[in-house]
Amino acid sequence: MKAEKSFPELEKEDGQTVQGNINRKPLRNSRKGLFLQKGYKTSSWALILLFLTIVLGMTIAVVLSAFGEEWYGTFLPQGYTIEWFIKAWQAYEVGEYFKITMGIVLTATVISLVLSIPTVYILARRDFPFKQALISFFQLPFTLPDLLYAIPVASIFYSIGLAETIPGLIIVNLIVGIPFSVFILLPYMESLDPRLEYAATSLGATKFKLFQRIVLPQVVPGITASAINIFIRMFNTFTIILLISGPKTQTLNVMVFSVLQGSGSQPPAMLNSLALTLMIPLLFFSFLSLWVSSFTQRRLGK
Amino acid sequence: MNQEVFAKKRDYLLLLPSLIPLLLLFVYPLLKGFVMTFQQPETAGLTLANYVEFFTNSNYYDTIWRTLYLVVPASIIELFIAFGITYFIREKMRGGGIIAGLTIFPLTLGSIIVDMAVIAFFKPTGWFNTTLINMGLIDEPFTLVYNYAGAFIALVILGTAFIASNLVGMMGTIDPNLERAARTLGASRWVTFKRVFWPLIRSNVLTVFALNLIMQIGVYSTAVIVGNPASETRTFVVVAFEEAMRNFNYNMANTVAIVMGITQLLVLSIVFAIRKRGYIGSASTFK
Amino acid sequence: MSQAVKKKNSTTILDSTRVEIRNLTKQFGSTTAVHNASLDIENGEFMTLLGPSGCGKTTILSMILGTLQPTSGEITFNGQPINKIDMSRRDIGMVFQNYALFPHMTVAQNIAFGLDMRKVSKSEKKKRVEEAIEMVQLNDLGNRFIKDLSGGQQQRVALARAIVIRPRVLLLDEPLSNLDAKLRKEMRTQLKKLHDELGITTIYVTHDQEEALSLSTKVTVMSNGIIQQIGTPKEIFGKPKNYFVANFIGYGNFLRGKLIDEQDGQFIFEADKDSVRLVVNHDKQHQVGDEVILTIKPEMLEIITDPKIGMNTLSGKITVSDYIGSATGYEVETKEGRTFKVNVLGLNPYAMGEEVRLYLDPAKLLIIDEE
Repeated sequence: MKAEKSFPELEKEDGQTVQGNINRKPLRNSRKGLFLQKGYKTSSWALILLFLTIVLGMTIAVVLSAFGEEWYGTFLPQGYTIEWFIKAWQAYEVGEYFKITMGIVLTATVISLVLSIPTVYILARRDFPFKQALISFFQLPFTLPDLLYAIPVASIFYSIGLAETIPGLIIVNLIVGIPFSVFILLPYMESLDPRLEYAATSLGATKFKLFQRIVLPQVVPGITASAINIFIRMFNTFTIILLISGPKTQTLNVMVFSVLQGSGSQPPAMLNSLALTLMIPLLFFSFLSLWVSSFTQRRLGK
Repeated sequence: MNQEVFAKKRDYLLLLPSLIPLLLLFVYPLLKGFVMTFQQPETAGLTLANYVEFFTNSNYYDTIWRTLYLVVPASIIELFIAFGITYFIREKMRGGGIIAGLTIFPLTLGSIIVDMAVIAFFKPTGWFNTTLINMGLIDEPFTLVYNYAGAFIALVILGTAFIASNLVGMMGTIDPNLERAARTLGASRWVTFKRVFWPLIRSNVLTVFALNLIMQIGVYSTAVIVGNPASETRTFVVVAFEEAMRNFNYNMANTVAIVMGITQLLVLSIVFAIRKRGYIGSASTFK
Repeated sequence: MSQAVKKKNSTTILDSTRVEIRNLTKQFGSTTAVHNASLDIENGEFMTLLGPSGCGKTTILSMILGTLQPTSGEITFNGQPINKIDMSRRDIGMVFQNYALFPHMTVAQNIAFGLDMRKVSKSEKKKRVEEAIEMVQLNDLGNRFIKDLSGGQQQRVALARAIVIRPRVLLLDEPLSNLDAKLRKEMRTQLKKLHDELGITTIYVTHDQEEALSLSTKVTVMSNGIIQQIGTPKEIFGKPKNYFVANFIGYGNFLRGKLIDEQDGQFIFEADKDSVRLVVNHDKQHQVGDEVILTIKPEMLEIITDPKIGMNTLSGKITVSDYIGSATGYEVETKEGRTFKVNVLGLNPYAMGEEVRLYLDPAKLLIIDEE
């Protein structure tokens, strides 16, 4: 192999100045760095473990307490039962409220979509002055604190008799539903290819047919996905419903909150069971979105 | 841009189905609400009496400090926990996904279930206190529910989940080559964080922090369920609801809401003033 | 032969490092990204790791850099093992494929970053940053932010940032791949000049054979995590060792077969598929009976009209004609059903479908192995 020439030799050969430190020190790790790294890792793991222990611990605690027979002073409940859950379900008519909520939210979702789709179409396809301002306006209701409009809405609804009625609750949900559907449908609509519409117009389609035959079929998958999101969003609407709800006209989460707020006399197992009924919509939506995505995939073919 | 056609008169009609409900249900109440704060329930004419009442009666003005005293320290702690966890797991790490998922998990439970869970876990006979007593660390259980501490804990858990859910994606937007570049140039991990990672992610982190903070200023169900809404956790919304639902004084209720909105705006502008002092811009490596 | 000789004309010479890689293996789960690679990189050498994407060249670079830990094997700088040295302590200058310039710092701040870490004095820092800026011809751009620079300028900043710390080794990961063709050529010349001036041991990763051959003093060709051949550009280009190397650096025509006889210092080759017999010059590595591949570059094949030459010719007709400026690329299909790629200089004198004869010069045919 080739002989290794050392640099000092080269220096003599050329008679030129050589920059840089020829005799570099051997590479060495920084002790302090290794120490700090170890400390950082340990404290990070400690933080993660502490936080996750609390999250998991409290979740398990609330579930066990809802499904525990007697739990006082021992580490675990003495036995498990779904009796409290059934009791809570019946005593507070959870099924009934679930139905009411579904009815309100479903109706409001459909109305929101019907009202907002034409707007979204214009926003995506037409240019006009202050368009950006209008888009920002549509986002205002969910960027402002909801209390600011909820209180006057409640006072107006009480004065015209819409409060504590089912139509009142549906109408009030539109404040959440319309801006939110504009917000999530707009990107879908913008991503559609407008040339398909031009092609349809050139073939003599009327405006209505154009919308029905060309635009709608394209946006249906997007609309279904959006509908579920809007639905979930409204299901969780709280502040404004609380303000105008009556004894028999309220949504599930508002009912649960009212009970938890008011009663210190009920056994904790009962209250925890009641709180956990709110998990049912959660499970329901996970199932729904799974079902819808598999359904649309089947329809689109693979 | 060429796919956009300039709107004809007829097209504007299509905006109406969504605009009219919003004008009626949102803009009109908003304006009416603002005017309402200058009115009294029974008398006509405009007056500053509601605001005067708010800022002279400690029953009202205390809510400002009570809310901020609860929410600001909680938000700062949330930021530290959420940032610490998501920064630690940002590189592909075994179990990182599970850790992120569990951190964000309380967000899917929602406020009410988390509140009840905090009670179940931290109450005097709950696992937290019994464990500490069994370990011999304390003799008497801590009172951690139905007071400031309870609301604080519930807020921290929900807020951490919210901030973490935003940070997880954000951590990925910083090109890992930038950190590698700093490291090969001789920077220690800490200096790499201080001089490269943090300046690049800072503005986004502060935005999330601000969002979370103004969300938590509107805290209600947590303050009522795990807190002590009569005194320690008497926040803006607690008082506003009290005025609206118990006293049917919508004018005062809305005055509280407006003061809350202004407080949120102030907090927001403070955070954004801090944000403006650093690098704001893309952290990507290509133009 | 030694690299040091080259430095006679240079004004600045930095000390440099000999890098040895011994039996380096890297596994990701069950896949082996680098398999038992051994490689010596001499003082001041410009070594290119050449291969298609996924061949393991970047993995080797990452292990030298310290972002990946080898599964087994060793890397040494001047004899010192560096496997356990933290990447911030390895004294390596790295140019990333996407440059990885700090977007929140100016050009000068980017370049000075490594000097800050080394706690260089203020005056020294200023001097060295200015020198580096001048060296990569970025004068007057020191106060610009990265987003205000063109791709070529960003590339130079990345280079300046890497060399200003006077690294032991300079690593470059496909640094020219994000530039357009013209700029790439320009930067190539600059890089070469810079290396000649500084004499830093350089390891360069690319999939572009042209870059590899024009820049390097040594080339390592890799595929599937295995080193296929190590040699000077001339060796790699003139004497590719096996099918992969030959194919990768642009040999177009391959015939698989056997050396069946030897006459007057020449082998007789018979193809497996169609028993085409060709005469090829003797080489030292092969003997009669070997299963081999014959290969010839498209520009070495000749289309002839002289009927006197009968040996090593194949007749066929032109099926593809592709005029590419200075030359024309043809595909000729022979009667046996083989397709040959031929490059002919100048205008295209042959028409599609024209009957031609190909001459495979025994001296220009190359005998290589499959593996």
